[in-house]
Amino acid sequence: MTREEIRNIITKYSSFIYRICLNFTQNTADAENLTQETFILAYTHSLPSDENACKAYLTKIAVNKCKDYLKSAYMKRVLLDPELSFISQKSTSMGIPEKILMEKESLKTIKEHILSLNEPYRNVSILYFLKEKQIREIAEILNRPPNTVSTQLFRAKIILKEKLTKGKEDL
Amino acid sequence: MEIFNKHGHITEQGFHILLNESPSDLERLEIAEHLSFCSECLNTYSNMAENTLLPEKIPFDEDTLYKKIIKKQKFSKFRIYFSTGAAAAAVIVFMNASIVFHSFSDSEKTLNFVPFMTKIFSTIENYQEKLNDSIKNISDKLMFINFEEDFSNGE
Repeated sequence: MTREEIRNIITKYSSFIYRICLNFTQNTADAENLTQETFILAYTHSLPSDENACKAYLTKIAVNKCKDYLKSAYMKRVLLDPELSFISQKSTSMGIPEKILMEKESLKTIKEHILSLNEPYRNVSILYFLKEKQIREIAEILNRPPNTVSTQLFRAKIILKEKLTKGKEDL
Repeated sequence: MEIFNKHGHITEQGFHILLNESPSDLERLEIAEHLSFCSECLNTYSNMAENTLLPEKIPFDEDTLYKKIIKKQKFSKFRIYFSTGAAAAAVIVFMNASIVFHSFSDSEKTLNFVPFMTKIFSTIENYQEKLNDSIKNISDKLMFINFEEDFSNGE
């Protein structure tokens, strides 16, 4: 892509991309930074010539940049939380956290909590915990990338842990 | 308010929350994650975002943004060339040191330790010079690329 082309694209889409980044970051400095990163990535790749396809491509780059930004901010908070550290330590072996949960609560209670989860965690948790499917299989069934399924499972475990702890305190 | 429907797609309410309200960090992350792989929701979001007014003035003008992007791009190009050059130089130094080392027998290594080390240092010096030359070549090449781009763009 030539400099003239990227200049035209910036003129055309900069406020739109900034709006997307601001939606996700809720912070003007981070939104500006992510807008720049979006255009840098666009500059190094060839963009589709069709206007709609070009806009969709830029939107996807911006959303992915925002996702990475939010993910790293969220993970930093989770890993620093001592209450949740046991999950992060054992996140690599996906079979262990549910064993810990099973020791604490009966299978019936856990099933109820899983069924009460909202999307995007409900279907993932049902398939993983109750139907005992592998991450790859879940990704195929739900048409989601395997990495996203793993992250959603990780977060589902945090939510389940909170629910189980709360339930125990209420008793 | 439900952000996702039972099929896992973002609801109209979900888009409304993202565009007009202040969703939590986790909600924003969940939406971004979903948009990264669902083109259907991405199109809906893209169309809705285009018709939503910005809550405040954009803190940059297009010209400044363009200049910043070009500057960052140049820097990242230079970083790639430099790290490649440095890695190649390190490999050459390592390979040469091993060749010099193997050219001596065990007794020579003990008896001729000082000349051996001198030879090693002089070899390293030679390669340092070569490394400096290659870095200079890379920076010259970079400048030439930038000049060529500027020239082709009529700047």
